[in-house]
Amino acid sequence: MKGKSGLIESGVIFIILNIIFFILLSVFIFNMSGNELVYEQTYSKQVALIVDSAKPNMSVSIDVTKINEIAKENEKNIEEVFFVDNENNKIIVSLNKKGGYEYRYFSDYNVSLSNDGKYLNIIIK
Amino acid sequence: MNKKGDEKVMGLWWFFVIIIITLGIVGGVIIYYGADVDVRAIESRMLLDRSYDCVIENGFLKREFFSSFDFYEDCDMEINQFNEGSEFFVKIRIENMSGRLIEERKYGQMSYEEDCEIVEEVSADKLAVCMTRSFVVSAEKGEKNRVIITGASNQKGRKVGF
Repeated sequence: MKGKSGLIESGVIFIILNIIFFILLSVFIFNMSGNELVYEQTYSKQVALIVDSAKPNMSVSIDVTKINEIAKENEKNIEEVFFVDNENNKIIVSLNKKGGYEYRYFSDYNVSLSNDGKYLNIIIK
Repeated sequence: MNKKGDEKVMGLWWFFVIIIITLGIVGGVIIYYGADVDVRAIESRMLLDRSYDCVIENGFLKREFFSSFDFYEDCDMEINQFNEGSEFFVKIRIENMSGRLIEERKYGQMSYEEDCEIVEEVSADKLAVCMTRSFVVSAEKGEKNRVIITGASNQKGRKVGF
């Protein structure tokens, strides 16, 4: 037969398991809500669309304060967040050291990007 | 009273509730944060606008369209993005006002032409997003022609590893 101590023990285990479960769920939601993929995807598409809608010899600046903050949290150098591959017409945005998100532009332009910490300067030639 | 039995039933019931809650929350969060930012319609519109700008000038079809016109050179389009496996498509169709075809040029992923016809009838998320506009332009001897330009994109972007 289960004694009083046995009942308390199983009750404590039950509560601990519930707490662990809700902590894990909260960690998952927190990680997903700060999802880097959303930012990488949004910014790579935004930059590619800016390039395709621009005319040669144009320069466009966009505010990238938020994405730079995330890069800093991930100890990623902000100069390496935005990358342009002029050979393959790709804009790559990366917020970690494992990878990033790429999006292509169809224009035959020579694009250069410079991130000054607040603004991303897109120079199209 | 059978306390042991009650505990077992409650334990199973709680386990079931936890699974349902977990699946609901995890599923909802993944759907919300994993949703694609779909910009294909904007891209199709850009392809259309860019093509318009290099084919039509001041309401006239550019004279060189029928002779030395080079879509990639004249429209500043990257030829490699319109090769095999391309995710873009542009069609420029010139016809007279009675609908007789004068000239038709196509660039990029040819299968998207069919996609465009399909998505006109039914909604299909996996197929290309198309944008078609018709313009009336002045031709020689005071005639009018119709220029129908279609831009289509099915680019979804991709995650890359280093």
